[in-house]
Amino acid sequence: MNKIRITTGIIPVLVFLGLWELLARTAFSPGQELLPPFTSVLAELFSLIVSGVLADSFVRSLSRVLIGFVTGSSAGLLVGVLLGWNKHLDKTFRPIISLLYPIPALGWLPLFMLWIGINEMLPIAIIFICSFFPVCYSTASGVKNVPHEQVWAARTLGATDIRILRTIVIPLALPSIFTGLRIEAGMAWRVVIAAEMVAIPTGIGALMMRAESLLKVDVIIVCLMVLSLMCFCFEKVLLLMEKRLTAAWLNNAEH
Amino acid sequence: MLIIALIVLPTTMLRAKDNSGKADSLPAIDVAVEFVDHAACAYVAHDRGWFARDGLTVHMYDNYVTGMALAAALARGDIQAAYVCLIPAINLYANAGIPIAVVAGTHKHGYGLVVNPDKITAPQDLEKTGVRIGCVREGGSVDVLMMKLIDNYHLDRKAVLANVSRMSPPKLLLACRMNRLDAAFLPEQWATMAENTGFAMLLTSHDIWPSLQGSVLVVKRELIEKRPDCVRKLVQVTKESTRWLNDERHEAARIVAAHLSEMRDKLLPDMNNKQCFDITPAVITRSMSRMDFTTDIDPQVIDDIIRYMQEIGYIDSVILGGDLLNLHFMNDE
Amino acid sequence: MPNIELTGITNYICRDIALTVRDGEFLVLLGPNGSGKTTLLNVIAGLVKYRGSVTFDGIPVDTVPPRMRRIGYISQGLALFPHMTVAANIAFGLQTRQKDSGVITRRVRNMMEMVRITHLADRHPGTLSGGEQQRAALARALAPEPDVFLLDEPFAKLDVMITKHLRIELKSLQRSLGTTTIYVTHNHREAEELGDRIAILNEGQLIQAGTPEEIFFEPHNDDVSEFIGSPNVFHCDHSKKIVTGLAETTCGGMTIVVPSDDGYAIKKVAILPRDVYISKANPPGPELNRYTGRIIDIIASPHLTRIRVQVEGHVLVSEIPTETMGQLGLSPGETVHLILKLNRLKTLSARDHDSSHRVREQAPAVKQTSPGRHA
Repeated sequence: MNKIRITTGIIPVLVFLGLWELLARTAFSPGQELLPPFTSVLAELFSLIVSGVLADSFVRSLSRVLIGFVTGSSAGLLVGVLLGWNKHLDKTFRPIISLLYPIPALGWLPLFMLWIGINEMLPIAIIFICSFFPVCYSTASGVKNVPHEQVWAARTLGATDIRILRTIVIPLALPSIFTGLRIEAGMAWRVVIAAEMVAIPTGIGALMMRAESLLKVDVIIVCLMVLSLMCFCFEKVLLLMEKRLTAAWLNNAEH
Repeated sequence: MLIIALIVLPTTMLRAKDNSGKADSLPAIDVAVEFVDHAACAYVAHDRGWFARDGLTVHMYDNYVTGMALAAALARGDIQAAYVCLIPAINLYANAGIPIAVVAGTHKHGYGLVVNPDKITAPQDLEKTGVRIGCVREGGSVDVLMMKLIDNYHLDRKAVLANVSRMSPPKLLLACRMNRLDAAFLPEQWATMAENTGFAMLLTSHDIWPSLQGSVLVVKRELIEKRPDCVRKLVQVTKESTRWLNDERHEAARIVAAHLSEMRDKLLPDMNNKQCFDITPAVITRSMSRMDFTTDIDPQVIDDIIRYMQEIGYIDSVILGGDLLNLHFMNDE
Repeated sequence: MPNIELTGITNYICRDIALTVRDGEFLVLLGPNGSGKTTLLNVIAGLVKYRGSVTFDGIPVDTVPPRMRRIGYISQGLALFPHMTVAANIAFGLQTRQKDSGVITRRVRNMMEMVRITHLADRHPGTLSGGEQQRAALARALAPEPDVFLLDEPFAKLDVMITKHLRIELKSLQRSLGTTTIYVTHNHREAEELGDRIAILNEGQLIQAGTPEEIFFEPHNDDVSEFIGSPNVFHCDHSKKIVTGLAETTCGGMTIVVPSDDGYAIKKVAILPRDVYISKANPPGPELNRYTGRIIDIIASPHLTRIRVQVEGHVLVSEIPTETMGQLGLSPGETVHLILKLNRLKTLSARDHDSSHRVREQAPAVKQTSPGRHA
């Protein structure tokens, strides 16, 4: 069954790639010089890997994403738990967070460029913001949605608030937390690329901009493929983590 | 009545055909023109009506901010010709695969390194930590010039590039004005304009690359195949205009300054109240004096430039100058 | 196990409730939805705010947090932790006080054996049936050996047969452990089966507290009477044993055979209207507790119809579904036959009467009103 599912999933991709190759190699419309065939893109990918350029750019982007995402998500988790758990804190800080949350992460870029300058901290700070708010929101929401009966049951069984948070509330809020994390994992990559395109001379985004000014469309497409793959991988990893932590009980929780 | 109609109608049709034939013989050409005095010959030709005189309907487009936008416009056929720096034209051909040909030159040189004389006195100063260097994005003419300077003076490429911020020439000029940069690689007329902000010209392309080709006239190969007469006219007008501006430098500077000021108001509306952005005839005269306006092109120089761009990894494909050049129209009179 | 004393309990629902729960007693809080019984339970647990005083064995616990009150609590939804196995759920309350994992493991096993869910140790609550979840919740609440056991309609969502067995098991367990237990329900049959005493609440007030017999035979007001079904009550002049398990009583001219071990001094006999069978024709069957009477009036409501029948100096009320009433086609003045179902008859003997009167609770005086009106 799995084999069939994998096969049927791959076929549309292969058809798409085949069409791409065909269209790029036939004169079908003006402007198609700017669409290199898929095989050319693959050749460029190989060349970039062998030369080490792609690896260098990738590692730089990856490190920024990891640092920004981990710190932003951790902070979001902590603040989200506090807001979800404590009504007074929630009432006090929610209006501020509600004001700041809708601002797209890249909207902070001009301001951060002035405050932080153009250095390694800039993309990390943007990714931090990009990760913090949605994770904070989804965590607070997940914590609030833990049925109060569960918390009361734990209280009557002698648990302290810390123990209740650690063993009951946070585990039960995990599905909501992971939803926030999965959404932002992809967003973090999009944001780092954009930040690198605008301001930072290294990383996949900078490689894309360099390719754009040199009119190397195949390199641009390689960078987009890497971006797509990374978004996919991050989301998949988080999905697997979530399944590992919640699958045993989540599907049957509504019994 | 019938007889009159039979006589008048064919005559009218002939005349219409004749007229329409005249109107159809040289269709309008869309030409991209750089927002710099490198394209002086185009501005002069347009101002003096030489395109129209020779039956060319030329629409000039000056708003292609990035090379990719120009490449896309050429690829789509939105424009069929361009007055553009040679190095970006090589990128267009070698990397983007746009089927273009260089049919004439417009000038040699026209690029320089301006510096804050209090901070930078020699090229070696560019390696120092904390030095702020401005340059256009990779693949631009001054960027290649910068790489050439690094090689000529055996500077540490990594150290210099770590100090470089990439931005467009207007932003570079503004950054110089606001002391956000210590040095900037700029094309003319921007380099001369930067001198008015207190920066000094340290080196020009004459010093770094004595034979450097500046801008060229490129046309789509499709235009050469379908309308060689248009291309011929275009090259002839470019030659005539180049000769004229060498003879009438002051008048040419006035024309170019007027055009560029008008374009500046359209393209950079919030800059026209900043003094450093004044484009006066005096600025253009000084700027043009740093360029050699000629339509001649040395194919060997083109080969050298292509080879260097391959060396620094800007182009991967193996091309020769001869693949890009089509100088047949240069030899027609 | 403590005596629990509630004094002047007032909050957003409860209105000045005073109640005592004795050591080892099984007290049922009975009332309609919204009457405040769950809130009162939560007050005892320390889970909601209140004014007034709660003491355990005379010691005030108002400032003692729930985790330190030594209570076992089962809410309506059971609140089993879905992400933990059954064994982990049961162990949860033990881990606070006990650090020795061996001791915890043994206790968990004992509890699972007690409620017969040993085979479910590694399952998650979401994979269990309703009855299995109940047992797991019971084991979890009892594992830490609480002093007080609080249950909020734990069987409300189960089907009738399972509920019946679980009630029996619960009562048996409570008796063997001797834990002071307070049980919330809106089902008066369940209250009668389980409770040593019943406290009836309505609109946040305590209406009456007493033994099931007291409540049934001596409701304080119409509200209570209506809530428990408005039983037909007969005052008996005389009673005698006729065979083992059966006694004959004479109640104002009516002879009623009732279930009784010794037939000793039966003071009152009662039966709910829905257990009084009514028909036009005399149905076949043994001639036991059959009467003929004349319909005085018929009070119809959308779902149930009450028929008042004059029988030998008594007015009996029978209750049938309204749609059945339509099929019977009864009307006032008509002669009908009644049967009092033997196993539904309740008796109050002189022994019951005396003992229940000695322990009658002091409930605040409440005017006899119909539901929905303030006292």
